[in-house]
This record gives sequence, structure tokens and C-alpha cells, in this order.
Amino acid sequence: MELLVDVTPLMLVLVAFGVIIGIVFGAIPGMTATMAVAVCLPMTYGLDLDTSLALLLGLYVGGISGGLVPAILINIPGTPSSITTTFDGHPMAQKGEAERALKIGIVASLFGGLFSALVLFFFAPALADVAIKFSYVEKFLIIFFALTIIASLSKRLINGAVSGVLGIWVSLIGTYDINNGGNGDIRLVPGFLEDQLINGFSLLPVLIGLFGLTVILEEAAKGVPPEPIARFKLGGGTPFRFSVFKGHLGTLTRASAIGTFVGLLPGIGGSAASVLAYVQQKNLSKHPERLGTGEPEGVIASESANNGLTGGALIPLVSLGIPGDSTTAVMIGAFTLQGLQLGPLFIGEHLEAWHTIMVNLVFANIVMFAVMFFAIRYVVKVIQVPKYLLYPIILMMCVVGAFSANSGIMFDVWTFFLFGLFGYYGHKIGLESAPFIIGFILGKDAEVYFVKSIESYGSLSIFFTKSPIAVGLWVLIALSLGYAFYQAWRNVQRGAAEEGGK
Amino acid sequence: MEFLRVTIDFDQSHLFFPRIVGWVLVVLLCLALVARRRELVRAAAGLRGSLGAAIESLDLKTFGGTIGLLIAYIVVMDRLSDVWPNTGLSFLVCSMVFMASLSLLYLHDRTRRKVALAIVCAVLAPFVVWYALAKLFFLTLP
Amino acid sequence: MKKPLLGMCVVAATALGLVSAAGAADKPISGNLRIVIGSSSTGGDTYQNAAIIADELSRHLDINAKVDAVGVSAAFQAVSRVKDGSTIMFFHDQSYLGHLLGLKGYQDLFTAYTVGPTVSINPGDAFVGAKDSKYKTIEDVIQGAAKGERIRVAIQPGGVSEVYYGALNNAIKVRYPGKEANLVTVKTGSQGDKNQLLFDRQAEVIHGSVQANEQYTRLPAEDQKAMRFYWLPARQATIAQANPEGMGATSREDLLKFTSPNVHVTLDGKQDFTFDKEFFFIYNKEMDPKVVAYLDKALGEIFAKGEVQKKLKQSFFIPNFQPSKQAEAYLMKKAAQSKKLIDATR
Repeated sequence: MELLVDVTPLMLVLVAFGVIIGIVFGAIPGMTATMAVAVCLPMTYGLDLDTSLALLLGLYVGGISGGLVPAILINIPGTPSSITTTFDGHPMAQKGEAERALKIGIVASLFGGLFSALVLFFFAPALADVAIKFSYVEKFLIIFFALTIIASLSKRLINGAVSGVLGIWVSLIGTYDINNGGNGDIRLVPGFLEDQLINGFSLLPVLIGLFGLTVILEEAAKGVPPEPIARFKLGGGTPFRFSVFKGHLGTLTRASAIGTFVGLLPGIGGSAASVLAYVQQKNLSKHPERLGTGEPEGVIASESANNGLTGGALIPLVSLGIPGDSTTAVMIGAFTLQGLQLGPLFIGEHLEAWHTIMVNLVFANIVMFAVMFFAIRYVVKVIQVPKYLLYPIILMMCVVGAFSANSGIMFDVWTFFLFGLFGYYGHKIGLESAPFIIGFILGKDAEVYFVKSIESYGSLSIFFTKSPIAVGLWVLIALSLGYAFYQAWRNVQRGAAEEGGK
Repeated sequence: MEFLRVTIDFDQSHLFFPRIVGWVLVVLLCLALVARRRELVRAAAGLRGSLGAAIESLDLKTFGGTIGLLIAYIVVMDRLSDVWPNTGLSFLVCSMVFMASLSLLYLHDRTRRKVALAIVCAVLAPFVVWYALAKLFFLTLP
Repeated sequence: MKKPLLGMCVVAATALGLVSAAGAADKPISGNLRIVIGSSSTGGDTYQNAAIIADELSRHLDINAKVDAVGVSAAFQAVSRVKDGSTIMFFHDQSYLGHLLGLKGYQDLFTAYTVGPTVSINPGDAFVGAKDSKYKTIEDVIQGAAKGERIRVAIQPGGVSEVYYGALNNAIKVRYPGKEANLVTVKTGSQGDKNQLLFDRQAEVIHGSVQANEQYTRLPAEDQKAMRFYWLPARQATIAQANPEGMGATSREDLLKFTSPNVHVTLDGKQDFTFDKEFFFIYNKEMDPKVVAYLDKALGEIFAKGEVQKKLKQSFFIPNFQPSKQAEAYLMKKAAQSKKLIDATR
């Protein structure tokens, strides 16, 4: 038990404090774990290494977990990685099973978090060597694979595909960022808007506009009917029992592993984790057609994957000195301020700090579980709040979230507004939000890795010949597309049969 | 594999990927039009009827009110933030007014109790958010 | 509907009156100071330097200085809009290099804004190669290019990185005219991407840093990830001010082996090229000179106390305070030197 030697009560208090603050940030649409860590970073100046790590890891785990609350209760993903949680979580809430959905999500989060912590502890250096096998080419193919998922997520294949590609296109608006190795030139922007759109649209305002404002506008168009969000009374439907996880140990492990793996690859955004996990769940499920209508397995896959991210993203951080996602990127700053250097020798040279990280990470997950599992009972009452009170609060929070997304930019609030309208009218002409936002999230990364692969190798053939990993990824891409077309074809057949039957 | 050779001029590299995506988008749009042509024809035929129905079912007061209030909220908040820079006071004041107006707009039966509740909520919520974010976490608010 | 709204406005206005009356007006800067930085990362060196200085300013002037990582264009826009000094900008040499390199969103720093004081230097920029590379030193790289070997240098386009590359390219040109064409760039982004290019042997040299790559230089040569330092472009006098422990297990003495005059990247055949990545403030052009002087004085006092130096050095930054006027002249000289190098490689 030499691991526990250095634990002090102050550390435990700070982990708990971090987790709670993190959950609040995660639960506010537009605010994320990254922001929670960034705003609390100055607090760590006065702390020593052990205690500041405790605080930051608590914030990280709490922030990643908090996103499921608004996703399930009000259908607005609190963070980009909880988009897929809305698919089944919110329908469950509408059926009166909000509490059950939340509890399932929290248990899955705990599993994902602990799973990835174990992987981090035992395999970090080995997996870092795996991560560096993924160069531009392989990273592009992973993103491409994640994009093919748009096909499986769309309600109608062609609409989904148009929405997804439109999402990619919109993400490219603005400059080709020099921070990604681009040439800094602007594209897809009319001249008179160059000042505003120089950086394009940012993800968080687009996300909460598309999910938050659109829903409220749709309700407003109907005059905001007075009945609350849950169609049935709370506690109706099936109550939560741990037995729901029976037969889903495979799901949990698979999704957590996907989350950890995506976290492990630097440069591939964290939100891809839950999307990938959700779709593989859909492809492997016994009842794929039921996913999206309020199936617990959808929530399980999504939530275990997004918490699996935490341990995964710490792997390159501690063993390469490279952050695995945006939150761990902020943490590098905390390490530097403590005069501690991350890199391939970190674990060996700073064994104590390494153990502190592990203890705090595990503890943060447990605290997250305890806090959320027992707070649920009260939080869930949100959906009983009448809409005339709830909607103004949501809009106000969304505006704050959008404004703070990039540390205080008013244009981001306009982005939020614009994409709320876009979502409202887009739905009318058959565009779909989920494929759009996935395209938007992955578009920029896809561009960088695609263009850089070609710049490095000068030929498209490299995408097929680079490595066995690349070939394996093509197989996955083919399977994913094939499955989507098969499903679309079956839907058409079924539709035709029904029409014939009339 | 000579036909797969591609060179990208760095100065023009910002256009390479957007062009590809643009063309894919155009092709998909055409496909969508073809695939959905029957629905489109039907929709065009019923356009007048459905448009009329859509407008009739649209609650213009609530919908337009939401949009109008939101625009006013953002514009005024931005202006006022120059008057009280970096304090978040503009956010505090504007949010209170915005939330109260929106609550009243969404309220169908304006009983004294409900209106009071809406006002209390409109004062309290922005204050809590402002206090927590601006005072405890030093976040920049408008 | 109107009455309660009116009431609310009254309540709000009263509350405001109370709050705003509390602010003092005798000092040029009071209450809240917003420092926007030209980077959108809260984990990078710009944020860290800004945060250390903001912390000192807050305590010294009894204000709330808050660093906001809004990114280049938003930072310039914010500081262009706010004239009263309640929002100021903090950034590094990129702020004028962006304009020299013709990037969108940059104006000429020296005419469109007021240059504030410089405060610190990040001396950690380094050119790094693989440990098993046949090039053991920066001289080997130069000789390699002279012999006609194609050498790929991974840099981030549009910034300081490009000046370092320009300097290396120029050094080859001065010594072996015509051979500089053998030194080519691989344009890339993050530290992770640059490391990856080296691991894949898709670049011979990368622009890394002491902070990020020091541990890699201590890996055994047979490790695919092992690296070696070639060149630190910082001035010798700058690195000499670092704490003697240096970074990680590489002492200050070891680091000095990679700076001029121990390695040579010549500027004109006589003099070596050196470049410090400098952090400084940027103000609105119309900001009251009183505020400029006030901040100059405050920072002067802070640096005179000597505490901030320790904090900066602990994070491997080198203090370098120069008041506004001096800073402007100094940076203009640097900009002129950089312009020559940039023009020469284009």
C-alpha cells in the first residue's frame, strides 16, 4: 500500500471540491471541463504539487461527468462529448425515467473512469509507444472512420450525409490556422465579414445554439405549451436497478476501451470517443432499431466512453509530454508552474507525483459517483420546473456559456444565436443536428491530417499503403459504410412494403 | 500509382480541402434532390396549403418575441459592457430584464403568484450566476 | 406586464449605483483589468507569463487583473476597441512577425498600437533532431546542406519559427551561396505533430523547445523517440540568467553549449544570429499616456522588488523588464532584423 502513503486530508477535500465544481461546469451548457481547469488554475499557484493535482484531477473528472445531466434532462449536451448521451438519455427522461437514465449514466461513467485509470497505471508507457505509431495518415483515417458514423446516425441516409458534409464545410470557414500548420489564409468568407469570421465559428457556441436554442425556438413556435418536459410523472416507467448492466459488461468494457484509445491519440478531439462508442454499440446491438428511442445501452456506451477518455488523455501527457485532449493541455501549465516537466522520463523520475496522480484520479471517480448518485434525486426535479421559468434560465446560461467559451467574446454569443436559428429552419428542410455537429467537430482535424499527409508523401496511395494500421482502418471504414447502406436499404424495403400493404 | 500523385502548393493549401468538401456537398445535394424528387413535387403542390398551415400554427407572438428579446438582450448587453467594463454588471442587469420579459412572454395564465415567481427567479438566477462566475471564479462577463 | 418590469429596472439601477460608486476614480487603473493574450491556449507560455505578471500587478496595484486567452485576432480587436486602459494585451514577437509575414488579422504593431513594456523571455526555443541522425550538431546540418543533402525542417508557419528557419537558411546562403535551397520546410502545428514527424523520420530537424524535448534528449539512442539538441537561438546572456539547474537533468552549463558563440548560425559571416522570444504588453493607440506611465512605473516597482524574477525563473522564463519607450525601440530593431531574414528566404 505504498501508494497511499502521501494522501493528506487536504488532498481529499480538494478532490471533492474539484469534482463538485467540475460537475457544475460540465452541467452548464457551453462550459466544459477545460474551462473548469482553466479558471481554477490560478488557485493552484498557492498550492504544492500534490494538492494542486488533486484539485485539477477532481475538476477534470467532474467536468467530463457533469455533461450528462443536461443531456438527459433537457436534451442539451453539457459538453461536446455528451452529444450521444442525448440520443437515448433524453427519450428515457421523457418517458419518466430521468432518474434511471442519470443513474445508468453515472454508473457507466464510474466504470469508464476506473477502467481508463487502470489502463493508465499499468500500460501508460507501452501505450504511448502505440500512440506514436499513428502519424498524420492514420489519424486522418480514424477521423474518416468517425465521419462515416454520420451515416449510421442519420434518420434518413441522404439527409444525414448532406448535414454531415455541410457540418464539415461550415467548420472550415475562417483561416486555415497556422497553429495547425496551415498557411493562415482565409477562405469561405465574404470580404466584408473577414474581421468577424477570421477564426470561423467555435464549437461550443455552435453546439449549444444547435441543441439549446433550436429546441426553445421550436417550443416558442408552438407558443410554449405549459406542460413540463417529462411527459409522464417522475418515477414512472422502470425504476433503476443495477441489473440493467447485466449482459452489458461487454458494452461497458468496449466503450471504455474506445474512450481510452481516443484519449490516447493526441490531436483527435475527445468528443469523437463517445460518438465512436455509440455507433459501434448500434452496429453490434441486438436491437439496433431501438437505439435512439430510450435504450439504456445507448447511455451506457456513450457515458463509459466519455469518462474512459480521462485516463486515456493522461497517457500521452505523462509519457510523452503531449496532451491527449484540450483539458490535459491546460494541465501542462499547472505542471510547469510547479517546476515539473512532463515527458518520456516523467514516470520514472517523479514516481511520487505519478502515484499522486493515480490516487487522485481513482478517488476523483469515486467521489464523482458518490456526489452525483445521491444528488440525482434533487437535480432531476429540474424537468418538473415549468417552462416559463426553465427556458429563460437555460437561455441565460447558454448566453453566458457561449460568451465564456473563448474567455469572453461577444461574437460567440451571436454564433450561438445564428446556429439556433439555423437549427430551427434546418430541421424544417430535413437537416439533422447530430450528423451536422459531428461533421463540424471533426472537419478541421480531418482537413489538417488529410492535407498534411499529402504534403508529406505527395500521393494519395499513402492512405492505403502507409501501414497495417491504415489497412485495418480501411476495413473498419468499409464495414461501417456497408452497414449504413444495408440499413438504409432495409428501411426503404420496409417503407415500400408498408406502402404496398396500404 | 502515378495517377494518385498530388502536390499541394502551400500558399494555396487553404483551398485544397474546402474545394473537395464543397464538391462532395454539391454532389450529395443533387443526389438528395433526385432521391426526394417525389416528395418535393408533392411538397411544391401542397406548398401553398402547408405554408398557410405552418404560418397559422406558428405562434408569431411567442416565436418573434423570443427572437426579438434575444437580439435586444445581446445588443444591449454588449453596449452596456462598455459603460461598466470588466465588471459583469451589464450581464447582471440585462439578464434580469431579459429573463423577466421572457418568463412573462411564456406565461399563459398570469396569476399574481406565477408572475411573482417569475420575477423572483429573474432576479435571483442572474445574481447567483454573476456572483459565482464573476466574483468567485473571476470569469470575464459582459 | 409593464409594471413589474419597471420595478425590476429600478431595483437593478439602485443596485448598480451602489456597486459602481464603490470604485475609486483617482488612479488611472482601478477595479478590474482585463489582459487579453494573443493565444487561445491556457496551457502555453504566453498564458503562464501573463498570469505571473497579472498576479503581481493585482497585488501591487490592488486591482483584479484577469488574463483571458482569447486568441490573436480577438485580442487585437478587443484592445483596438477599448481606449481607457481597462483592457490591455499581452503577447510575444508573433505580434509584429505576423504582419511581416502578411498574415490575416495583423496590422503593423508599431503604427496601429502602442507598445508597452517588455517583461520576460522564454529562452527555451530549440532546434532538435533525432539522436541516431547522422547530423550531430547544427554545423553538421549546415555542412549536409552544403553537400547537397535535402534537409527537412519542421516549423510552424507564420511566426517566430519561421524567423529561426530563415536564419538557418540565411547562414547556409552566406557561407555556401545557392546551397540554401537544400534546406526545406515541413509546415506543421503542435509540439506533438512536430515530435511525430521526427519519430516518423519525416523531418531531420524540428523546432522544439527545451521544456518539451529535454527528457527526449536523455533517452537511449536506440529508442525511436530519442532526440538531441542542435541549437538554442536565445542569446547566451539570456540563458546565463537561468537557474543553474537548467531544465530537468540538463544544467544551465549544458544548455549554454547550444547557444552562440558555442554554435554558430551566422547572420552575415561575422556575427551570429540570436533571438529571444520576448513577452510584452500592447496598448490601444489612443490610450492615455498617463496610463502608460502608470503601468511602466508599477512594473518597474514590481521588478525592483525582485520577487517576480524568482517566480519567472522557477518556470524557466527569464525576466527582462524594459519600460515602454525602451521596449518599443528594442522591438523595432528586432523587427527590422527579422524582416531582412524573412525577405531573404522568400
